[in-house]
Amino acid sequence: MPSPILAATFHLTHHCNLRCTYCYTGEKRPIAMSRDTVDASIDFILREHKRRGSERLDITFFGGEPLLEKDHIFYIVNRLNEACDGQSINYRLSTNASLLTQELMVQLMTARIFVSLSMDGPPHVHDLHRPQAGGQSSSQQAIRGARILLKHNPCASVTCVISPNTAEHLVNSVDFLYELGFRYLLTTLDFSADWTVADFKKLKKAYQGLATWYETKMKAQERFYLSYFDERIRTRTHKPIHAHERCNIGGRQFSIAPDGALYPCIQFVTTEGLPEYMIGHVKHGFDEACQTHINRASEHPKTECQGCALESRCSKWCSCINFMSTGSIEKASPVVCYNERILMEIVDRTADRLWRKRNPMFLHKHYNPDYPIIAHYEISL
Amino acid sequence: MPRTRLTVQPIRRTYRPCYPSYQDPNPLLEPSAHPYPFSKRMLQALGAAGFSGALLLSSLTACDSTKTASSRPVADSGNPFPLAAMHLPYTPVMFGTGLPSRLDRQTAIETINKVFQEELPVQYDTLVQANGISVIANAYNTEHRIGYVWVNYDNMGAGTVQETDFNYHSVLSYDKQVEVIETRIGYQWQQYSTNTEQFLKQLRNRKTKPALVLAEELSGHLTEENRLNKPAFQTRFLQYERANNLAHYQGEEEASTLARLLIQVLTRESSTLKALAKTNILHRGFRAYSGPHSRVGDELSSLVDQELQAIVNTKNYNTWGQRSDALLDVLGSVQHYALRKADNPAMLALTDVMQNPNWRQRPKKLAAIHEVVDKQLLSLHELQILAKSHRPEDSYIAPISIRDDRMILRNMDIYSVDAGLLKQMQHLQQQWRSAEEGAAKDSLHQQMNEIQMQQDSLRKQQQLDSRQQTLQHLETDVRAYIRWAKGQQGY
Repeated sequence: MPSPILAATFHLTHHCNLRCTYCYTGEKRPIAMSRDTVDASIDFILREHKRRGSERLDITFFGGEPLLEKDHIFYIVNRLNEACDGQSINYRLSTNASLLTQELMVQLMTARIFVSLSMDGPPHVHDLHRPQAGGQSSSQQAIRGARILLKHNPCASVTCVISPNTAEHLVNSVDFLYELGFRYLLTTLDFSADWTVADFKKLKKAYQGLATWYETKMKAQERFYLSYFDERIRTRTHKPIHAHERCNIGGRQFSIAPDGALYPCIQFVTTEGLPEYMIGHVKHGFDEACQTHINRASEHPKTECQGCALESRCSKWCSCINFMSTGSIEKASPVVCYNERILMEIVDRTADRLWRKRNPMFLHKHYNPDYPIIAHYEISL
Repeated sequence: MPRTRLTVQPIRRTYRPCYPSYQDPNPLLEPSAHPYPFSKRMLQALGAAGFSGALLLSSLTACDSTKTASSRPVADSGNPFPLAAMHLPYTPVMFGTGLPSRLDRQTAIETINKVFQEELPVQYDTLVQANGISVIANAYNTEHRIGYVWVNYDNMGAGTVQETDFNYHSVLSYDKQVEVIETRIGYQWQQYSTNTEQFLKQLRNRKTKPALVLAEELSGHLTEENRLNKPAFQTRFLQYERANNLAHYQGEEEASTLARLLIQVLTRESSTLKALAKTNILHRGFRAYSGPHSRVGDELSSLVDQELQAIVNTKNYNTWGQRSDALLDVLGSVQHYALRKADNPAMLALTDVMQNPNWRQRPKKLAAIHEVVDKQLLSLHELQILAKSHRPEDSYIAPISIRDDRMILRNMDIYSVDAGLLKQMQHLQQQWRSAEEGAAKDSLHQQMNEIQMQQDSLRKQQQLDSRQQTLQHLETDVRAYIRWAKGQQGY
């Protein structure tokens, strides 16, 4: 299906200096993308960009830890900018920030690469699941990197992963990241973890605490984005997005593994390789039959969800999460199901309380189409 | 393969939020009601940027959808047509200039009917029993019990209007007229007691004999000791008004039956307040039912004329009093200007009453008129009931009112100009003034005419766009109402 955006992710290396327990990319091996594969990938992207007539390119740098291959990053940016002179290209990079320096940050800003960070919260929470390769704490390096990032870009985002044993620290984690200076906070569950009903009870309590935090910040007219709340409110305040617009897995978005293999999304790029999900290679192009098959599988109606009152608002459409949670992209994730059931009501009640008081930040955040721009300006001041 | 002890469990029921969804009117469509709370740093930064900062500020705060859009009220628990949107009760004004233009009734009804036709099969102009009241719905679906009623000035009933002396089309009931007079006298007392000197000055400026007499008299009561108290002032002022009215009608009695009758009222009635109230009602009643501007039809006009004549010719004081009171009751039974038209059922019912030769029976037959009038009018109480529907078993009849701000047409200002064209015009005018007579001056004049035409064309387009936008918003809100009503009923 034609799309105005083509989104490609470069997995520059399988290697990483951390050993996050929930990392889905598999064993960390020093396997990096060769220069030859980089060139082939760039050529492939440019061909696809032209063939599809897309208006914009979204390029993401991933890994392992992409800053281990920073030369590749700037090479790719320069080549693409040269080839697409005047056209719109967005660059993003997702890092653990432990290798971020002032000098590197300046280079990244100059290249207009939007950097986002992964950090789970204060040191005692962060270090539970994000140790260094030798088992040491990585929190201080992450905090240092976060400060460098925020100094250059106050609008940088941070991703906080919630695991069963960190759920009870959720409010502290979010508050810690907020106090550190982050205003765009993305929270997500470790969908591959072995969640139980008891874990969700703790998580529900944590969400209730987070609701109070959210409300307090809104009453204080703080400008921020908390994905778990704001995205769910958006599912009510904005028109439902069609599946193919939300997740065009293997279609308008794809991942390029270090060896040049093409995969539908980031979760499928692992050290071991998943041949059944490979949809082509940068040197040979897409395998259309595989693409269509995976696309259809992801669009497959989740019959187990039929009749659910939350069906139109739930995030069961994310094939990556379904894959991580169930091992199949066709099956809805029970972890997502539980999560949505407890979170949606908490979010809606919080929103109703703010609505009843006609809280100005609530109104503008969710009903003013100019809010993202205004808030961006204000945060960056 | 990841393991989980959880299973996917669809839920049949969930918490139903109240905050507006994408299907409801955007709560920010009235930006002045919810201004953006800019941070201090942002305001400082924009202030430092000067004029360009101010421009940026205004462009950032304008929601695109609000530019030239009519105001849409905040939905009340999802209902796009809450009672508050009708701004009732309203105060009628004497003059129409300066008031905003509104969608005309026909266009509004056509637009709403079109939406209903698309969403539901409906019957039009049908009497409906809904939520304990009777209402003539403009459109109504009997299966879903969803419809609407157009609320215009001609069907707004009790409680919807703040009556004043300036609403000279109203023929009030006796009690209402007394209330209006008492309010007026109360205002005069306020003026007298707070600034006596100013009050006396204004009284003298009226230059009628009764006014000068009253002013002279009140000038003798300026000290604290002999100053008039409120009851004394009000009695005296009522006497003044009586004398004033009498002076007004004397001199006309030869030419007019009405003048003769009003002089009789002002001289015969023992209570001054009653005399004034009766004078007002009879005067307005005559204008409504019998005068040259009457619309009630020849038959009823003639019957009222005959009755006036009969009252004037009644010699017996008691009979005269009772007969004139009876006429007051009849004339005040249809207060609404819009209902006083020859083909209106209220006028037909009134004609029946006036055709009864026994004048004493007429006030006893007014119940039939009241019933006819009630069916056509919506009182504030009835509108409240309609706007409050919320249970599954309720009927959902949206009261959509001409007074709703959504009906306002923006950009109708005939004086609005495009800044760029205005500058060009001013420049040309300057040149024209200093130009010598001849071809050059003529050419400048021609250019000015062309700019004027451009202005007119721009203005017309703005008005068309605004009208279109108003209609679109109305359609969206009507659709939202139907969806909301269905939702409330559990569909």
